[in-house]
Parts: sequence; structure tokens; C-alpha cells
Amino acid sequence: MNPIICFYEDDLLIHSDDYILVQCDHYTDLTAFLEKTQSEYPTQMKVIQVNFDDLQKQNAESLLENDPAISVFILNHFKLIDKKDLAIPKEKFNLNFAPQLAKNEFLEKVRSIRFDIQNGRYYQVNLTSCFESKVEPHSDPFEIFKYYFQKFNSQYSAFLPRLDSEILCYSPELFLEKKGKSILTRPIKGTTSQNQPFEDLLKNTKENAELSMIVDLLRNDLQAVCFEKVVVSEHRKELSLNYLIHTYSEISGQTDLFLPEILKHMLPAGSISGCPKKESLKAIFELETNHRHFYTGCIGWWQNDDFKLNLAIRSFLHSKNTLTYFSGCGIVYDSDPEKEWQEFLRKAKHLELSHEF
Amino acid sequence: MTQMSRLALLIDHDDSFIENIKFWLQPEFKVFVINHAEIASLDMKNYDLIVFSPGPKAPQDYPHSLKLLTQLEQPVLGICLGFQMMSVVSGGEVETYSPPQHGKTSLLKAAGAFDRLAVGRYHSLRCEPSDDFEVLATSRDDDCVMWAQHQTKKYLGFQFHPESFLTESSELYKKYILDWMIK
Repeated sequence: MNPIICFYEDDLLIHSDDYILVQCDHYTDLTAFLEKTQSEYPTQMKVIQVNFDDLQKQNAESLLENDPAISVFILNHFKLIDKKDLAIPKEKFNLNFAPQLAKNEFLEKVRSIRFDIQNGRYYQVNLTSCFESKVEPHSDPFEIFKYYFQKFNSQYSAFLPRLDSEILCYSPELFLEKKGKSILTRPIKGTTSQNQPFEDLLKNTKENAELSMIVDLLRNDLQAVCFEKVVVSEHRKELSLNYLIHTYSEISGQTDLFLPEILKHMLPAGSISGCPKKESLKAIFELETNHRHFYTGCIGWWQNDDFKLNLAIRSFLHSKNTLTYFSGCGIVYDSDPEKEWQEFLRKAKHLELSHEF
Repeated sequence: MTQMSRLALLIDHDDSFIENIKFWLQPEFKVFVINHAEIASLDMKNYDLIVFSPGPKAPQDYPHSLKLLTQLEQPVLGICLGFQMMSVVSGGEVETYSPPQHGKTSLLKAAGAFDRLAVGRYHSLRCEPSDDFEVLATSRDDDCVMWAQHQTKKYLGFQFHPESFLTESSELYKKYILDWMIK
């Protein structure tokens, strides 16, 4: 059996091979399920994964037959290991990724979003799609996880073995962290390539506006669970990855609520839906032809009343000898369709692409 | 009127900034929120202030809100879409504005302490209010009406978002509202 891996603090990872998996389907009330989990396993360390949206759309192509809305791994035992203790696999993987959305279709979708924005329908929409590769049947998904772990070098990684699929997550984004009553969120928006100076990103009014609207949106969403006025504690800070540079902000507050209620108010997350959220979610369901599944949901640990959840982006789904990598971009009026396509590809920089796109 | 007794009703047009507006108005107002689809069921006469929220789409997409706006007797605050609704029912123009100003800031051209304050904007439509409105502020960079009040009706409209973190000195607008309500 493969272990479960989840980021913990700094360079430490949670590692467990002794756990129980409990799942919630799309017909059960998610908050009620989480409340039951909380009361049955209050003190155990838990690793939790919540899908983007429990509304499974009828017309979308699903990669999975069994796609639970929530998976919770109750860890009977776990240890904390250092990032560098995950050995680099010796095995070579024969991977060959191709985007599942043609470039011209992607550009067309960006144009239609810009048209909606001009007409006042919304301010921003997060447009996503995926890349697929066949995987040789004997390949161990945990070995593939370790292979990409070295490449992405991300702060919020996780490997989740589910019943008939695995999630390989290399997220750089913290969705929510709660310690005692203190809670914070750290949305990322604004992107440039890693060889551009950070000052250029700071000067870019389009990238600035893209982050600012998500900050106002997340102020709002975090405020819904906080009793005092929330504050923007960081704004437009640099996040340098080995394949991109981003800007991020931080909003923090004080809450009396617990995980089930907090997620009820805050999911789907603002930075991967759009703004205003309700209308942008409708647009996502109209625009995207693939299921997001776990992608843009959240993954993290939960123990007692504290938790730390990432935003499940820069991630793969392994199922039925297929590896699917998801990527997406925030689209605003000032978005240049061609540049957004380049950003969509840059977020997949560590993939073995079948040819140049 | 004591501080605690001021009641505001915030009509939500499926917006994502409702909590921000609520916390901006507190503690001077006790704020109740109702979705625009439910306004027919509510008796509004006990509220000291009615706030028409921002939101997606355009004023004509909310005919029931437009109708309510003409019937209210107490002071009404309109933010973004709410201001555009005020403009429409008062015979002004609301037209597409390109490029849209979403998540962007401008400096105000206004009198006194409001002049050159930075404000956060989220709009792709532009208001050209009728002469019944007194314009209190325009944007310095592109000369859009940013803030206006009706001369006879109790309408106060903001095209920018006073509750946004991009807006400087947001307390000043609240103070203005309190003075304007009792004038």
C-alpha cells in the first residue's frame, strides 16, 4: 500500500501508511459529513481533500466513475519526514502530455469571457483545462509523485491514494490556515515568467487589478466567518517558483467557527472561481468541458480545531493508466488571449509535452 | 437618533462584496441583508437607510429593484450597480464603458477633504446622471462620475466602491452619509 503524504510546516511532510479513508458522496450534505467526522475523530490527525464543487455537471466529461466530494484520511499513525527524505526515483517514466483543449478553442473562450466582462456580467473568471498522458501499466503513482516533487519543489505538496485514483499535488498556494482563533488566507494572482524582473510584475496594472479584485473577494469571504473586521496583512508580495513568479496577498482575521462551517462559507475558493463569485461559477460551468474533480478544491491537514489547507492547483490525477495535469488562468478584461495561453502552458512547464504548442 | 438605533437594509444583487459593505457600515449602522429576489416579502418602513448593492449585469436586469427604488421614502445609498439604478430611474444614461475599470484605482476630483483620495473601481458601465443629480466627485484620470447625490430625492450614489481595500479613508464617506441622512 502506498503511503499518504501531506505538507505540514516548513520542510516537514506528514507521512502515514496506517489510516482509514472515509468519503462523502455528492448526495450527502457536506457540512453534516464534516461535522460528523469532527465529532467522531476530534483529536486524530486527519488529511482532508475537498472537490472543487459538489455540483457535478451533466454535460462534462468525467475522468472518474467514483468521484467522492470529500475524502478524509484518518491517520492512526503518522510521522513527520523532511522533504529531502523523499528519494528521487531511479525509474524513468515514459510520459507524453498533450493539452485537452486546442489553442484556438482556448483563445475563443478568453475572447468570450472578455465580451461578458465588457457587458458587466463579471470582473474575472478562472479558466482551466488539462493535459493528458498515458502511463505504463506497471508504473507506481507514488514514484511518479516523487519524480515531480523534485521538479516543482512546492510548499504545499500532497500525495493522496484514493480508492481507484491518486492525487499528486504541487500547489504553491495556501487557501486557509487556522491556529486557535487566528485564520488567514493567501491568494495568488499575477504571474510572469521566472526570467522577468519582479519590478515589471509590480508595475503591470492588469496583473495588479487581477490580484486586487481577488483580495476584495477574499476579504468578503473571510469576513463571513470572522467576528471582527479582517485585515489585508500582506499585499503584492513576491512568490518566486522555479518556473514562474507570482504576486500574492494575505488576509487575516479572528474566528469562532470550526472547519465545517468555515468551508461552507468559503468554498469554492475565490481565487479559482472569479468575481463576483456566483456569476463567475455559472460562467465556468458554461465554458469548461472537463470536470475539475479535486482540482481547485483544497487539500491539507486537520487536527483538533486547527487546520492548514492548500488550494489544489498544479496537480495531477492518476487513474486508469492515465495522468491528467490541470492548469488555468485568471481572465480579466485586459487579458491578451495569446498571453493567457502562454501562461496556461508555463504552468505546465515541468511536463513532458508531446510537441511544442 | 442614537447610534445603536440606526438600521440599514442592504439589498444584495448577487454580489461578492456584501460582507465588506456590511463591515464598512458598522458599527454606526446595524445592517440586515436581503437578496434582491426576496424584497417583495419585506416591510421596509422600519429601516433608516436602504442600500442597493453592487452586482453583476446591468440595472434593467433587476426590474423589481428599479421599481422598489422609486417607492422608497427613506434615504437610499447606491453602490456601483445601485448608483446606476438610481441614474436610470431618474432619467439619466447608463452606457457601456470601455475599457472596464475592474480592481483599478483612480484619484477623485472633488471638494475639500475628498479631493485626490484614491478610490477602488469595479465597473464596465458608466453613468451620465440627469441634471437632478449634483455631482460630488469625478475621476481625475478619465472623468467618470464617481459620486453624486439627487437634489430632491434622498439618493446618494457611489460609482466607486467605498468598502474596497483600494479606497482610501473610507470612514470619511460614512461620516458624509450620516450628515446627509439628517439634512
